[in-house]
Amino acid sequence: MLKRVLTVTGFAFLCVAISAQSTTRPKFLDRARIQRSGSGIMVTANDSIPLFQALYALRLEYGWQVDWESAPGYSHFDVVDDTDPKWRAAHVGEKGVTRPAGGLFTATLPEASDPSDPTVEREVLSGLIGEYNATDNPGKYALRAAEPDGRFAVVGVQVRGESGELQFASPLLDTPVTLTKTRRNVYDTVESIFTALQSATGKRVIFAAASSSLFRMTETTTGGEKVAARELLTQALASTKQPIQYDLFFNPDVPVYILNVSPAMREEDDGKDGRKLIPTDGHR
Amino acid sequence: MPSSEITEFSGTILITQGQFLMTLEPSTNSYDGHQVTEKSPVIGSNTCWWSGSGINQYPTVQGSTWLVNQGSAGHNQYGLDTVGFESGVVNLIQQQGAAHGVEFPCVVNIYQSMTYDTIDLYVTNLQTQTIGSNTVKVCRAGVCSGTIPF
Repeated sequence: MLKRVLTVTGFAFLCVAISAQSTTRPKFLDRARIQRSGSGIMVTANDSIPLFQALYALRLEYGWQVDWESAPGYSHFDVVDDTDPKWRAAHVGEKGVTRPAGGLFTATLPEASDPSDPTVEREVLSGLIGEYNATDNPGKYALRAAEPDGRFAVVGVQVRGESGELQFASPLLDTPVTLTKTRRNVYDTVESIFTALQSATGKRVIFAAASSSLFRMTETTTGGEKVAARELLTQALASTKQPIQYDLFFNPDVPVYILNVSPAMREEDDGKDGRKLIPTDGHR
Repeated sequence: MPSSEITEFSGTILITQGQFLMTLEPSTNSYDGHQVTEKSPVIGSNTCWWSGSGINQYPTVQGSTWLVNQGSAGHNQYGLDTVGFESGVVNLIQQQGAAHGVEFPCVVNIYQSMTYDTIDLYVTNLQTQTIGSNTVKVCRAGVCSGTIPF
C-alpha cells in the first residue's frame, strides 16, 4: 500500500515537474564558464546562441579580437517560441516572439599557452567551431581570417530549412557594395555601409552601439567599388586605431540584422572578489 | 592633473542618444592641449537585453580619447561624449522587449573611468540609458537629458 502511495505521489510530482517545464522558459547561464584541467580547458555555455556565449568568454579570457556573424536561422528547427507567458496572457491572439533554438554546449579545447600567437588562436577557435558544428544547436559556422591583419571572424554559413535540411546561408557581409570614398566619421561610414547593404539585398541592419563617441570623433575615407561589406566595415573600424570587434545578429521576427561593437579586452580577478577589464591590442 | 569634472548635458542626437560636455576641475589650472581617455573598468549591465536579442548584454565604452579645448569644447573642456542606443535599437526594445519578458523601464548601465594624459585616473562615471515603453532618458555622472518622448 505504502509503495503504491509513493508511486502515485512520484507520478504526480513528475506531472507537475513536466508541466512546469513546458510553461517555464529555459534558465540560461548569464555567461559561459571556463574550467581548466591539465593542458586543456572546458567551456560550458547555455544560451539561445551558445557558440557566441562561448566565444565571448574566450575573448575576455585571452584578450582576443574576434568578429561574430550569426547564422540567420528562420525555420522552426532553428528558432523557437520565446513569448513571455504573462505577455501572452495579456495579448491573446497576437503574434508572439521567437529566439534562436540553442541551449547547452560544451567544448574541450587546448589551453592557449601563448594567446598572442595567431596559430594558437586559430587552433582554439577551430576546435570550438568544430565541436559546435557536431551538435544539434542551430547553425553551422566557419572560421575566416581577414586580410591584411589576419583578424578572425566566426561566420554562420548554414541554417536549417523548414524541412530540416541544411542549406547554405550566404553571409550578409559577403555582399559586394559600393561606397563613395568621402571623408566621414566612422559612425556615418558604418551607417552608409548598412544603407548600401539594404540597397543591394533589401535587408536592414541597425547599429546597436550604446557608447559611440570614438566613432563620432574619428574620421575615415573608407570606400570602394563592389567591395565585400565586411572589408569596408573592418576598414572603418580599424581607422579608430582601437581593437574594435563587431557582432552581427539576426532577428527573424522583424526581420532585421543588429550590429554591435566593442573593444577587445581581457578580464581578470581584481583581488577583491570581483573582475576587472584590461585593455588589450587584440593581439593584432 | 584634474581632480574631478563637471558634466553638462549638451543635447540629443538620433533622437535617443545623449551628448555631454565636460569641464575639468579645479578651474585654477589649465588642461588645454592635454588628453582625456575613457575606459571601462568592469563590464556593464543591460536589463533591456534578452537572450538572442543581438543587443549588447554587457556594454562597455569604446575607448575614446579627447583633446582638451578642441573643436566645440572651450577652455578646460572636452567632449562631446555620446551615450545610449540610437532610435532604431530603442524602437526594437520597445516593440519586442515586453513579449520577451523585459520589464519597463529597463536600464543600460555603462561604467567609464577617465584618465588624464593616459595615466592618471581622476574619476569613474556611470552612464545610463533608461528606456520606457514610450520614453527615454540618458544620463552621465548623474546629469540627465530629461525625459525624451519616443
